[in-house]
Amino acid sequence: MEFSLLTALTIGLLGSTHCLGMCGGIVGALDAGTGGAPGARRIGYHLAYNAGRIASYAAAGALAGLLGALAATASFGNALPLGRMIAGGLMIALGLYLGGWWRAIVVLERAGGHVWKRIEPLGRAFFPVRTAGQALGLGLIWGWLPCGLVYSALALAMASASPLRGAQIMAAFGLGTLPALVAIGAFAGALRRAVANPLLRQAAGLTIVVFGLYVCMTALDPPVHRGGAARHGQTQETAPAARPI
Amino acid sequence: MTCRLCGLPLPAPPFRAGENSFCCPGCREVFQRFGDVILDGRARAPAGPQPGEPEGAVAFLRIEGMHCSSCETLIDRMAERIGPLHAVRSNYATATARVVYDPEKLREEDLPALLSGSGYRASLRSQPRPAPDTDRALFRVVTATSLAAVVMMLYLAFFYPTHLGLVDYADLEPVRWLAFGAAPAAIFVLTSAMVAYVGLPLFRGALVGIRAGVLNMDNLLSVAVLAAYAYSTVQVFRGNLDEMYFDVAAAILTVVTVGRYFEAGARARAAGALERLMDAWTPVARVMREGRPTTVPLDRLRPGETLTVGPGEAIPIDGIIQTGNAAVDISLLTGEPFPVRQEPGDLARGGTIVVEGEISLIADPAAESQLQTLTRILWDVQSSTSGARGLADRVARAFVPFVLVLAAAVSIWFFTSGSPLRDAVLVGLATLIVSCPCTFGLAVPLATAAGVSAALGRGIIFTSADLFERPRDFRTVVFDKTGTLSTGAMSVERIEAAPGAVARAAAVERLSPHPVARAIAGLDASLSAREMEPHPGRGVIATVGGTRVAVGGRALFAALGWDVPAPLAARLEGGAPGAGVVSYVGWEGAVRGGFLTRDSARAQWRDVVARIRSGARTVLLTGAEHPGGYGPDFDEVHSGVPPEAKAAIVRHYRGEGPVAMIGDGSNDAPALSEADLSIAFGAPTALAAEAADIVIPGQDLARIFDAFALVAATRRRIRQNLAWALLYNATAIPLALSGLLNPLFAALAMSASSVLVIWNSSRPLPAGEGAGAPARPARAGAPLPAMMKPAGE
Repeated sequence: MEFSLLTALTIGLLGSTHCLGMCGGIVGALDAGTGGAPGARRIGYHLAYNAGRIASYAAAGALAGLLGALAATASFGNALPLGRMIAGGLMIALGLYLGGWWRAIVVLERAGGHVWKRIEPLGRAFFPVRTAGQALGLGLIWGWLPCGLVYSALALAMASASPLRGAQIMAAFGLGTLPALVAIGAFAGALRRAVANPLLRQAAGLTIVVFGLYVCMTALDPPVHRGGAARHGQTQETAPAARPI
Repeated sequence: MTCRLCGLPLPAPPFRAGENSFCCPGCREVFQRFGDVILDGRARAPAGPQPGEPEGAVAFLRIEGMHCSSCETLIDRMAERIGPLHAVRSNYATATARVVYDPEKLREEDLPALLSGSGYRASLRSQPRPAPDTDRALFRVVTATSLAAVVMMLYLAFFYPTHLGLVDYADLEPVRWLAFGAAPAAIFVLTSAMVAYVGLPLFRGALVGIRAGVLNMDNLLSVAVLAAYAYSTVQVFRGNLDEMYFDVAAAILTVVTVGRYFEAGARARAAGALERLMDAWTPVARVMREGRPTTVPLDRLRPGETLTVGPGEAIPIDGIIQTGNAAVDISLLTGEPFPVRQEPGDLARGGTIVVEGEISLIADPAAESQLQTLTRILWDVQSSTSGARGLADRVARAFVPFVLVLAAAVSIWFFTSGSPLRDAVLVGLATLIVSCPCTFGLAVPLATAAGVSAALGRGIIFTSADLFERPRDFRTVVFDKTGTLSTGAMSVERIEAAPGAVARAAAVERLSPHPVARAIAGLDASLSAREMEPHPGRGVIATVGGTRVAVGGRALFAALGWDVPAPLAARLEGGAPGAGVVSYVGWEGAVRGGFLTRDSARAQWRDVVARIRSGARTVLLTGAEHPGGYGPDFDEVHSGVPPEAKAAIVRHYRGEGPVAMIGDGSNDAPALSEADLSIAFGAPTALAAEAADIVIPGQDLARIFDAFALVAATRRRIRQNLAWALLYNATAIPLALSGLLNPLFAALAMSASSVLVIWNSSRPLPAGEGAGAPARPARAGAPLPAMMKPAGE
C-alpha cells in the first residue's frame, strides 16, 4: 500500500481513540433508534451509517485533492512539497492534541463548525433511523462533523494533488476509524476506559507526530516514484507468484 | 472536569452549550442532537432485562460435528423452524445444545432426530458418548500432507527454478515431456483429489455459513481455494503453465486441515471439565415397573416411584433414601473430598455419585437437583452474549463480509490500475486467506470455558459471565462473619455444670431450633423434655421429669427473677467478653450451671484475612451484636448490622473504590449483589449463584485465593486472545492488501494464528496454591495487589 494511504489509515486507527466517546454516542443513538431490531439488521444499519460516513470523507478527499491539483497546476513549482509540509504540520499538531500536549488544532475545528452549521439540518430528515437508507443518509451528513482528525487527513489528501488519490486517502482514513466505531455495546465501556488511559493516548499521539515528521521529511526530499503506475510496478515485483520468464 | 459526552479532558477554554462543557465541537454537536438518547441509553444499559424464555421442558443434547461458532447460529436457526421446539441455543465450546420444547407434542427421545442433519449428529446425554472419529480426521491429515508433498516437490523440480529465473526454459527441453506434460498433469490430478477429499469439511463449513446467513472463515478459505484451483485449471487447459497456482490451493488445504486437527484436541481440553459436567447429568432413573427393572427418563418418573442407584452411577435427582446404604462422593456439590456414608432417611442429592453399595430412594419430582442447577448456571455463563464475548461475536460476523468486499475491491483496483490479472487475483486471494475471523469468534468463549472448567476442577464455581470484565484492584474487601469466617455451627466450648444439669439442659434444648440450643442438645441424650415454652431471644423453658427447667441467657433468668451466682458468671463470662454465647440452666428458682458456646471459626481465617489486609482495607460485617474475637484482625468492623443494611454499607464503600465481598450467600445476598465481585461460601444453590459471582463449596477459606488467581488468569487469557486477534488482523490484512503477502504464507499465518488462540486457551491455568501466574506489580495508591497475587506468596 502506498505510504500516504497507510498514513491515512493509521491516523484513522489511532486518532479514533479520541472520538470514540463522540462517535460511539451516535452509534449508540442509532442503536436506541432502531430499538428492537434484530441483530443482523442492526449491524446492517451500522455498516450503512459507516459507509455513508466514509463516502463523505472520500468526497471531501476528492475535493481536497482537486484543490491540491489546481494549486499544483497553477504552477508555483513548490506547491507539492508545500502541501506535504502543511499536511505533516497538521499531523504533528493532531498528534500533540491527541497526546494532550497542545490543543491548537481545536481552532480548525471551530472553523469547520461553520461548514457543519449549513449541513447539519439536512441530517434531521434521516432521524429516527428506520431503514438502512436512512442510516446511510445519516452517515453521509455526519461525515462532515467538524473534526481535527478529519482535517489532518484532508491535508494529506490535498497534498496528493489528485482528486482520485485524495478520495482514496480519505477512504483509507475512514476504514481506519472503523474498529473504534464498531466497538459498541458493553465493550465500548471497556474501550473507553482504556482510551482514558493517558499513556495510550500519548502513545497514539506520539506515533502520529512521528508520521507527521516523516511526511515533512518527504516534502523536503521527496522520494522518486510515488505515482500510481510506479506503485503497481513495485507490487508486481514483490508479488510472490509473479513469474518472470 | 471532563467532556460531558466522551469523558475526555477539556481544553481551555472548553466548548460550551448551555451548562455542559465539551472537549471539541464534534462532541458538542453530537450531544445537542443526540444527547438525550445517549444519556438515556447509558442509564439503561446496565439493567438490560433478559427477555423471558418460552415455557416448556428443557433438555441438553450433545452435538457432534460443530466446527466453529457459526455452527451455533445455523443449528439454532434450523431448529427454531421446527414448531414444537420453542428455543434452541447451541454452544460450540462445549458441543452442547439446550433445547426448550413442548412436552405435549414431543418426547425427549425424538429430539436427536430433529436436530441431526446437515452434518450434525445430536444425541441425548443419557446415551453413551459416541466414539469421536479421530481416525477419519487423522486420515485426512495424512492424505493432505502426502499429496501436498508430492505437488510441492513437482513444483520445486520443474516450476519454481524457472519462475525464479535460476533455470532457463531451454534447459528443460531434453525432459520436455516430463516438465511440460507429465508434471502438470500429475499436479492437476493430485490437487483435484485434494480439493475433492481433503477440502470436503471446509466446503461443508462454508455451506453451513451460507445457510446460517453468517459467513465464516470457511467461506473465505473456500473462495480462495476454489478460485486458485479454477483459475489454474483454466490456464492449464489453455497450455499456459506459468499461470498455475495449484500449489496455493494444495498448501491452503493442507495447512488448514492440519491446523483444524490440532484445534479439535485443544478445544476438547479447554472445555474439558465443563463437558464432563454436562455429561455427568444423565437424567434417567432405574425403576421397577411391572416387576421388571426398566430405565426411564427422569421426567417420566411417576410420583412416589422408587428408583435404584448402584455403584458408579450418579444419583439423578434429590430424594430420600428408603433402603440400603452407600458411600457417596459428594465432592461436586460440597467440595468434600472423601465419600460420605448415607443411610435410609438421609437426603441423597442429585449429582452425587454412589461409590460403593446400592440404595433405593423416592424422588421428589418437583425438586431440581443441585447438579441440574449447577448445569444451568454454568450453561448460562458459557452461552452468555454479554460484554466482550458479544462484541467479539459481532465483530466476527461483520468481519467476513467486510473481508470479502475488501478482497474484491483490492483485486478490481489492482486490475483496473494496470496490474496483470494474476497479480490482481493473487492479492485478492492473499487477503481472503490471511484474515482470521476465528480468532475473534473463539477468543472469549474458549478462554472462558477453560477458566470455568479449571475452576470446577478445583471446586470453584464461576456463576457470572462478566466476571472477567470486572475491576481487578479492590480497595475494600468486606467479610461476612457467620458462615464465612466461622462455619456457622455453634460448638460448646466450656461446661460449668454437674452431669445432671447437663442432661436436663440438653433435654430442654433439643426442643429448640436455635443454633446454640443445637450445640447444647448434642451434649447428652439420656433425658427427654416436653411442654416447651419458648422465650424468643432469651431461651426456653420445658418440663423434664416433672420439673420446669429453664435454659437461656442472662436475660431469661433476670425475667424469672432468679439470681445467677457471681462466681459462675465470672468463670463463663470473664474469659473473653463477647467471644461467645453464655447460657445458663436452672430449675426450682436457682441457676445450677452454665455453658459457653462459640461459633467455630474456619481453620485458616486469620491467615486469609491477614494476607488480604496487606493489600486492601478489610471490613468485617456481622449481624451479631459483637464481632467476637474477629474484630482486631480487621481495619473496620460493623456489628449488629441487619441483612438489609449490609447492602447499604457495601454501597458506601463502593463510593471509595471497587469492593469485593465474601459471604455465605444466604442472609447477605443483597450485599453480595451490590459488590463489584462477590464470593459465596457454601452449597451451590440457585440463591447463592444468583447473588454471588463465585461460589465455593466446602470449608477451605484459602480457596478464595485460588479463585482470584483463576479469575485473573482467565481474564489475562481473554485479553491476550482478543489482543492477538486484533493485532494479527490489523497487521496481516493491510499487508495482504499491499500485495506483499504470498498466499502460501498467508495460509500459514492464518492457521498459526487460530492455533495460537486455541492453544493459548487450552494451556493449563496456573494453580492458585504455590505455583502461579506472575503477580502484577503493586502500583502506588492502587489497592489490593495481594488479592490478585497467586496464593502462597
